[in-house]
Amino acid sequence: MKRDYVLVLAITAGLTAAAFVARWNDGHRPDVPAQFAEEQLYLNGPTMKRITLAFNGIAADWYWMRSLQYVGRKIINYEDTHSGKLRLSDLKSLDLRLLPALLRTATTLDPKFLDAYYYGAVILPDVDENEAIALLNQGIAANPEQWKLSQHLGYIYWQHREYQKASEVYETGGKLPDAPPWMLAMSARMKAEGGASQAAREMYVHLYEASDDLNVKGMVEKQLMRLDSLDERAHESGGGASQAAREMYVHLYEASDDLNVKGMVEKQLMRLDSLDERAKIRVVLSDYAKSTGHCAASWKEVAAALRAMRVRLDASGAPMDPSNTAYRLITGGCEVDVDDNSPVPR
Amino acid sequence: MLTFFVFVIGHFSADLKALSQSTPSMPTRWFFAGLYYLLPNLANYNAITAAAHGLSPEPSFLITTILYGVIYVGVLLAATTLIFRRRNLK
Repeated sequence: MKRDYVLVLAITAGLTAAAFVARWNDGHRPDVPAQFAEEQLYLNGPTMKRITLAFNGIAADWYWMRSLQYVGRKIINYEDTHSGKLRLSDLKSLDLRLLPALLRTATTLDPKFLDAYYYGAVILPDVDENEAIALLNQGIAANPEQWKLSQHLGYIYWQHREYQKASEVYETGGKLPDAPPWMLAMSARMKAEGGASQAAREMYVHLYEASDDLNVKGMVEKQLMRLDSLDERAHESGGGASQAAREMYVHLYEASDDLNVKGMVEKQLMRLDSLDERAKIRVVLSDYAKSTGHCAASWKEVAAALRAMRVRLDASGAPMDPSNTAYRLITGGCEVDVDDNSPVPR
Repeated sequence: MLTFFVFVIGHFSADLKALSQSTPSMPTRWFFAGLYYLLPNLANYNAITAAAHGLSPEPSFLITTILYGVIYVGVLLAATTLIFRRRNLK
């Protein structure tokens, strides 16, 4: 019994001493210059695959965790040195140069590692668009039954206005057994965005004939009417593009199980709403300046006109963005902008 | 598997410290700080990048890192003795 006490005492004293030594080490750890710490990985995916023998899955998990920790540390460092939370638009400033290699290695070790592909699809386009496309193509080649990978790839092409490629990817993904009908609809939509309205029309007609779903038929009828409308064709680069973006984000939201992706999509939808609101507010400010010869000194001066345009106002008469933060009057009251504290992305 | 997870925990223990510093809740802060000091900190033994660039660690850092290893091994041996001394392994 006495020996037990001695051992417990030794463990307690040892852990205390280890904690003190660890604390001292933390304060005296040699600083490795940043350019060395951010060096490319010494071993690439194929080499790691040979070295890890039958433990490819565990090694893939290791690289996956490193990817998450790498991004997490960068975000913490960013938020420690900047005011406010990191915005999606600030991802580029994190300098995530190792992330493509980490994700490539993880997915080479385990080509069925879907979470790594989805994560890369969301984060990588802001770091290296070509790497994001290459990663998703690798994922589609290894998991040809996963339509969500095609959806992410189509989204990336759409963001970069490569409508033809986006259309092809949506079409390929849309033909997979479990793919929802709107994947083929998005393919047609991308063709229309790219100016190939006749091709889009053919795809819509084909989709209408092939589908038994009344919702899909209704949606296709609306899209065909949209194509028929010459007026709307004239606005294709304006409101039409915004509507396409809204559809794209809504589908992305519905198809994703990841809370971060859902959060990102919610913000993008708020940004689209805000763009529409700001367009209305600009019209009001411009009309006011034309009629009075000067720009508005405060929101109160244009509150009635804003109300008539169905813009939401707060108690002081200032228009509110989708997060209920008041917009700012800038450039002497002639322009409107999102407040710096608003979570709505610009 | 156990060795692999000890390896993972040991190399990511610095993140426990970062987590304890970034959380606003005091009990959570103490919990993760305690965990950080309790788990083996293997990151001190990783000098791959520095060595690749010809950078040597300070002698004092080297000595305390060895001391840390000795103390931690002693703690593990004491805990092992405590657990297994009453077990009949015959």
